Amino acid sequence: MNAKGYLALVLHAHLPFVRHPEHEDHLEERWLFEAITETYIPLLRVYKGLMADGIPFKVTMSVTPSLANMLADNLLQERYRRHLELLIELAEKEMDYTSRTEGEKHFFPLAEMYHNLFLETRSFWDSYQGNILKAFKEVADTGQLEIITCGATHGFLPLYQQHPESIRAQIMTGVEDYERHFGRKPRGIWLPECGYFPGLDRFLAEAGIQFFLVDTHGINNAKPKPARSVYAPLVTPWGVAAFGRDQESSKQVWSSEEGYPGDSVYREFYRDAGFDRPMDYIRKYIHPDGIRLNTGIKYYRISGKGDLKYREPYNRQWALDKAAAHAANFMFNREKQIEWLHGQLGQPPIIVAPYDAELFGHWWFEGPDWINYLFRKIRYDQSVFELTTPYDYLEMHPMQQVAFPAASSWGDKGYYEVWCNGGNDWIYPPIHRCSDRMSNMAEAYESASEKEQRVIRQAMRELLLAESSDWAFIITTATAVEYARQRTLVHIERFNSLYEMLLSGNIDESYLGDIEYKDNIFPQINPLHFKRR
Amino acid sequence: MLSEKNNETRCFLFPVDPHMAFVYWEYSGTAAEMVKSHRGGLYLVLFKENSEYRRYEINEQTRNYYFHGIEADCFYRMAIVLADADGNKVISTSNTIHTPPAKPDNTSEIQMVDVRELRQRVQEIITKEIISDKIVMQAPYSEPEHISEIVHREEVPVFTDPAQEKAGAFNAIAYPRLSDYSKPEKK
Repeated sequence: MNAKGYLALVLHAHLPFVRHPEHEDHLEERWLFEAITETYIPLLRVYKGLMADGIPFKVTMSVTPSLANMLADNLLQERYRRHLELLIELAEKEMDYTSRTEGEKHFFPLAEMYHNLFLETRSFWDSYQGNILKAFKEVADTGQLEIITCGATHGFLPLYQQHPESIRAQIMTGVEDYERHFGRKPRGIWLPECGYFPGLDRFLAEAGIQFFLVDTHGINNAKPKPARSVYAPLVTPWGVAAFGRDQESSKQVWSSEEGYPGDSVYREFYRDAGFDRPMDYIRKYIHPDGIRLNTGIKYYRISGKGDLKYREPYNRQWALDKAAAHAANFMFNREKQIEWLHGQLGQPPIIVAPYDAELFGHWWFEGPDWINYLFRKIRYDQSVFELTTPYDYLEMHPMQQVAFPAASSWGDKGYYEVWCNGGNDWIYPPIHRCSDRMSNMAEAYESASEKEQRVIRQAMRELLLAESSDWAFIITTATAVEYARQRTLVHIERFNSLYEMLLSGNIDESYLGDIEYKDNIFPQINPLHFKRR
Repeated sequence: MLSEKNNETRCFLFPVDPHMAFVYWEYSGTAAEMVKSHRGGLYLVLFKENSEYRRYEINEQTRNYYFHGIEADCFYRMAIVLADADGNKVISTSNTIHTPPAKPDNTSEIQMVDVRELRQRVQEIITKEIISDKIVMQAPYSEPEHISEIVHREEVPVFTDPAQEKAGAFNAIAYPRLSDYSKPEKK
């Protein structure tokens, strides 16, 4: 096929590091469990299905280091398996309940669908011995999935411009951790929150990164002005390519007004059996303290706005038909867009469409089906464009414009306010102080005793965990605020306790061992990245 | 094994968006004493491209501030200043920041490069010498030496797409990222 242009679908798979061995059942660990069941395994099954059918595809996915560490963690793997068993049990109970309860019988096929879905999920999980990173690697090894890295704990890098050691540590730890999981160096990076500032490219070049992604205005406001808008990458003077988000394709999926996921036939996220069933019935499957939770078993479709009580029953076939229609619509729009752009630009454009991976499956239940239909349709139903990855595009089109992309993020309003405002700016002075202290420790690392080195390594883990952009984001969006606030404070406190131990020479091994066990992220962490330059 | 300069006055300035910057500062014991005992005014002075741009009186308890309505695409620096009849005494100065541009650049001189060649050149430079982070952070628009040798000017018509021009105003769905358990109702 002589393509007139390319589409690069980029999915950002990320969760903050949430692992609480100190509690048997921790609420926030369910973020991971839900994402595995509803997003990561469904996406992997789509990829594997395409491979089995011999349908070539190209997709880019970040698997952030914090997520990869959780997916590789034995404790969380065991807990997920237990969680999945309970889901299967609940689905069985739902089949029984819906089959014999008047007024609920029409839900029986859906209960059965969930039961089958969870059984298939378990089978997939077990086939990779509970480590789905192996499945990601398996698909990546075919060359059809480009896995990219991210900042170690998703630290929002523009707010560390005065602490470049934190920037280097976030990037280098992300790169090294990627190698540990995937056996090769990452070629690209998803900058946390797409947060960029001029100068960051030098750190990326140092880490061997070849491309990154920015929001639309990161390209359009570049210096000098880009010749091809976001339809070609810019190469920074440090040799790293910046790809910009295409507004049109993003809007079709993301927009709260026009986006596909809001269609009335799709499954309603906010109406869940965890809230609908009587407490005695559902207690075993929600939080042990009786806090009602989403179980993932949902019987209604969006159908309209207003009170959730008035939603209509979900019809799986209607939803799948609509996902196919939406995939066709997306493809048609890309064909028209690319044909027009090809005429304007005189060379094949690239349309970069980045999304949070968790949109697909978790929020938009039919999202993985949409991707499945889209990739198949692109293969068989058109001949205007091809799927690609940023890396492959650069290989095909290495001659590109040199420019400085503009400071930007993909957060609300496009810059840094989501992560620095009156509600969350209190986190930066203590974290920046810790960063300075960490550099002091890094400079003493090589001459330190083995025990002192353990302290320094753990201190670095605590600092990186405190730097996670998720805490500031959650505080701004007012969701799990107390948890985010506590996580920030706990990691700063642990860091400072370790630092004081080193200063005083009194190392409490029992304390050290305890937090090494709790915050066991990055087993091969390298504190030398914090040395000042 | 460690020594720490705990007791120093520091002041960090950050761009937040094209028209807003955030600053926070910490006083050393001596500086805090000086601020407390001073009989004149305490001010934040914002400099734009090295000229005084704005001055705000603050009280001694203030430790951070948002500068609103500043200009996009400019360099700023800030100082904490004690002022009285005898003149100004600078307590601390911040780093320099560059506010993000809020619109497309005027210049459109197009330079093209083979990314593979540039990457290789950069790796040679990076391997050869360690460049101070301070130098890089103070000059965000710096380039590695000798890239002009491999970059060439090209006459490419600049294409502007109105569909992409509404920068930073994208109306995304406010998904709370898997963390909204206590709020079943749709936002």
